[in-house]
Parts: sequence; C-alpha cells; structure tokens
Amino acid sequence: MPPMVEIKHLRKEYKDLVAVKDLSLELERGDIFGFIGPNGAGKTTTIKMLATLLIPSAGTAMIDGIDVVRRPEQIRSIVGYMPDFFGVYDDIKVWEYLDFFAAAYRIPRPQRPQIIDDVLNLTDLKVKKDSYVESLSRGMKQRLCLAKTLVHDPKVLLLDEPASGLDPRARIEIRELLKELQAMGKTIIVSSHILPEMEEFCNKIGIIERGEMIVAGEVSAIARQVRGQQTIEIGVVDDLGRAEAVLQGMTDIVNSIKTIKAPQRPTWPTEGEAVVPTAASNGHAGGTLQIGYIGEVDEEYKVLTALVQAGIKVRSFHTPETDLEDVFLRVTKGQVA
Amino acid sequence: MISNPVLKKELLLRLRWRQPTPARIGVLLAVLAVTGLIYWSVFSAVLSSTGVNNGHDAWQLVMGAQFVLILLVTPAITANAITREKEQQTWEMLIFTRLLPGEIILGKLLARMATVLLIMALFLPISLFAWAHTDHQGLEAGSYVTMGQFVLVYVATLISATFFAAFGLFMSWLLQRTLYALMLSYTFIIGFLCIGTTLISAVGVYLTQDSSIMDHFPLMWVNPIMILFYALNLGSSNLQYYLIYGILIYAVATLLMLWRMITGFRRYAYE
Repeated sequence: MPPMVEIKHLRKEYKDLVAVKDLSLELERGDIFGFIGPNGAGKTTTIKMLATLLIPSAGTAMIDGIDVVRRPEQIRSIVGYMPDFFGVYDDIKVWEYLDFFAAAYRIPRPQRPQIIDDVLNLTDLKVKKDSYVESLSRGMKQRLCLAKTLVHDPKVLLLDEPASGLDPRARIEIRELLKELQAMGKTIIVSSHILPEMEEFCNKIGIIERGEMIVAGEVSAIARQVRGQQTIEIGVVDDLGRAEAVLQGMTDIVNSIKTIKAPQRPTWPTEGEAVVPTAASNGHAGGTLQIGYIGEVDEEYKVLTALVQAGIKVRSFHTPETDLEDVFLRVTKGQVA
Repeated sequence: MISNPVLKKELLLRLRWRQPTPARIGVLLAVLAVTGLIYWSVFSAVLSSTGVNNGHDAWQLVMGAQFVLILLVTPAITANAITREKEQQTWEMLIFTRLLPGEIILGKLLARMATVLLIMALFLPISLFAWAHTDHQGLEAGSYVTMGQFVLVYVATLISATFFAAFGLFMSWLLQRTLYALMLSYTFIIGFLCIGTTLISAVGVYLTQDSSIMDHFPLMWVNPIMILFYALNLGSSNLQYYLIYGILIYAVATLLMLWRMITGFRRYAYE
C-alpha cells in the first residue's frame, strides 16, 4: 500500500524567490501532520501545491498514489481543502451552501440531505441549518467551511490555519472537531501557529523555514533529536535526596537532574508545643525529579527499576508533553523565504 | 445544463431579494415607472395619430431603447462574475471542486443572461404592439416590418448582448478587481466600439471627403449602435451584409472568449 501522502523534492519558485525548496515528506493513513513554520515559510504554498491550486516548479507529490499534477480532478475527489483565508456567499442559507458544494462534488441529489445533516451534526451547526451564512460568527463560519470540506468524505484533509483569528472557545471547538476527524481515520495535514494545540493531536510534525523542511517526523522523536535527550519526570513520595543520588550514579543514561521539591504546608506549633522536625527539614521530603534521559528509547524502564530496587517510593514516572514551542524556537531562526 | 450547480446557485442568489421592504417597494416602483413611461409614450404615439409610419417609428424606438438599456446594463452584471468570487475569497474553494471549467464559466454567463432576457421580456409586449401597428398594407415604402425582420432584430440584440456579457465575464476572468473589470469592459464596449469606431470613421470621412463611407466603413460593422441600425433598416443598400458581418464577428468573438476562458482555466488556477 503506498503512503497516503508522498512528497519528493517538491519545489516552488517565483522568479527569484524560492518559496519551497526540495521538500520531502511521507505520511501514512491516519497520520495527523502538523505543519509548523513562521509566516512566509512556505506552508501555504506547499498546501496549495498538494491541493492542485499551484503547479510545482519541480518534484512530485502523490496523494493515495495519485499524482497531484497529472490527475488534479482525481485528487479533488479524495482531498478536502480548507484555505487560510476564505469567504462565504451572501444571501445563501447554511444548508444551501453545503448543498451547492455537495452538488459541485458530484454527490447525487438523493444523498445530499443526509450528508448535509451528517456534516452539520459533526460540526455542531445543526441548529443553524436554515440561518443565512453571513449571520454566523467567525468560529461558526470556520466550522461551516470545515463542513463544506467534508461533504465529499475526503480521505485527506488539507487545513491551512483552521484556527487562526478565532477566540479561545472557537479554537477549542475546532480542536475537538479535528480530534473527531482523527478518530474517523482521516489523514490530516494542518498548519497552525498555535503550537500547544498542535502537540495535542498531531502525531507527526514538520518544521519549515525559508521554504526548507528543517525537521519532520514523530513529535517525541523530533523533540529528542532537537534537545539531544528525552525529559522524564519522576515523582517520589519521600527520600528525594536519595533518589537523586541513585540517578547521579547512572551517568551512562542520565544526562541531567533537576530537583523540584514538593511544596511544604507550614505547620505552626501551638502554645507550649515543641517544634518537631518535618520530613522537609530532615532531608526526607518527597518531590519531583526531572531528568534528561540519553539512553535508548525503549530502555527507560532501567531508570525506574534502579529507583525501585533502591527502595525509593516512586509515585509517578512519565515523559511530559513535548513542548513544541521550545522545539520550534530551537530549530528556527525566524527567517522567511 | 439546468442541473449545473453554478447556474442554480447564481440564479438563486440573484432572485433572492433580501432588501428591507421599503427598498424593495422603491425599486419596484422605479422599474414600473420607467416601464410605464415607455409603454405610455409608445401607446400615445401610435394611437394618437393616423400616420402610416407611427407604428414603425414606435417599434424602432422600442427596439432602440431596449438595445441601449442592454448595452449599458450587460457589462455591469457580468464584470463582477468572477472578480467578486476572488474579492470575497470564494474562488479558490469553487475551483477546488470537481466542477468542470465549462460548467463554472457557462453557469455564470447564463445566470447573468437571465437579466438580459428579463429586460427583453419586459419590452416584448410593447414591441409586439408597435409592430402590430406598422404598415402591414405596405402603403408607404419602408414603413412595413416583416415578421422575419422583427425576429432578426431580436436575434441581433441577443447575439450582441451575449457578446457584451461574454466580454464583461472575460475581463472578470482576466483581472483581480471588479472595478478594473468594469472599467475595461465599459472602456471597450462604450468607449471603443460605440464612440471610438465612430470617431475613427469620422476621421476617414474627413480625410476622404466622402460622407457615404460612414455607413460602409468596416470598423462600423462592430459598432453596436450600427448593428441595431443595420437590423432596423434592412431594406437599404448593403446593410443586411454589414449586419451579418457584425453579428458574425460578435458571435465568433464570443466563442473565442469562452473557449479561452474554459481552456485557460486550469492554467489560470495554477498561477
């Protein structure tokens, strides 16, 4: 089975300007790919080339094994495209708008009412079915555009900044919607500037700058590649100092240790009561250790085993969410094409 | 073609009239007033006198008024057909659908031609009335209008209107802004075809000192006003040939513009 999206050395030039330079990428069915980059980096150009709206200067792009340049009509039947800036027709109702696009995607008339109801349900716009499109809020229009993008049940979705310009509530609604689409097994390429949201539902990301893909792949792998280590957070019930000492002895796989002591609730002695030393004051307090792990990806258990064998009461052991903003800032220089 | 989604959507949006009631009543009254004035002028001119040429003159007046109205209105209604989509950022989504270029272009053209057909339908009863009062007994030369000529004038008007509409649409396809498309459409149709050709021919008359070349100058074949003039005065000299040349040029130019828009569509979408 071919990759769902396969881009090889894609390039787009405008006279002296190279908007996209030799971009290569492979995505499997069901992947959610976050396309990240500063403004003018080449994200929209790349998405437009995949959407058959721009012809590449060089390279190839295939979606589900179909060449986007040679078979644009076939591509349009399997791809849903939501541009970064879009408008809506005036004097048209929500269901008429969707019916028009359903007809434009050659969906037979008898099937259209059900499909319109389905996409309206999915985008939570059912109550607005008979409203005029121009009366919708910005967030609703964004969801309507997404509903329009889904009427022909595309395998691949190209979403260019779907949450830009939205208030926090509308952004959350779009994010939830994308999660639902992810659960439906769609392959999604989504560009966005809101990185914390991207890391919630993207399993792969690509960071592009000045038209070049700097890094692309699994989010955690990229983070590790960028930072050179994997952060692991270990919560211990007590004996934080001893746990730190155990970890300091594992120099082959632990690169750095940061101690975060648990906040102590102050206990004031009542009149006549003696001051009793607390766990914090005698060095046996609990807390969290944040370590930089540099061993093999599937051998993180060795750290946990060592702590448990040393009698440390481990409360939690996990890798925190990858901080995409940190990754992004590390690999980009804020330059545009 | 009737199931063309673009045609249906454009007709729906054009027929849907969501202005406030006072505005709707105002527009309706204005249209009725203008139509009533034309109808009253023709009725009174035809019925108040017994001259054999009254019907003929009234018919020419009606056809002339209809033609001028179409000439003025048509570029305005088509020059925004595609630029408006670009301006309101719906064009990209439209061309990304599975619609064929021909469906989009013809859908937009035909939906806008509906306005032209509405104008012609408004004028049809009064033109039939005036035509019925032309000199059917042939009492005076040139005062009789045959059914063939009546139909021919309508055909010439329709072909001219289609050409104006196609030109406006072509400008809309070519340019990014409605304002520029409108300006270029009117500059070409009114500025060049109506005024420019007349001025150039006038210069020809001045240089040759031969006033007869005004009617026969080839550039005048594409002058819209002259095309109507040829159609209304078929009996004179070679005017029927000039009419044929004129509407043939319009028809070919219309087809060429449509062909260019449809075949150049894919390339355009990529640029």
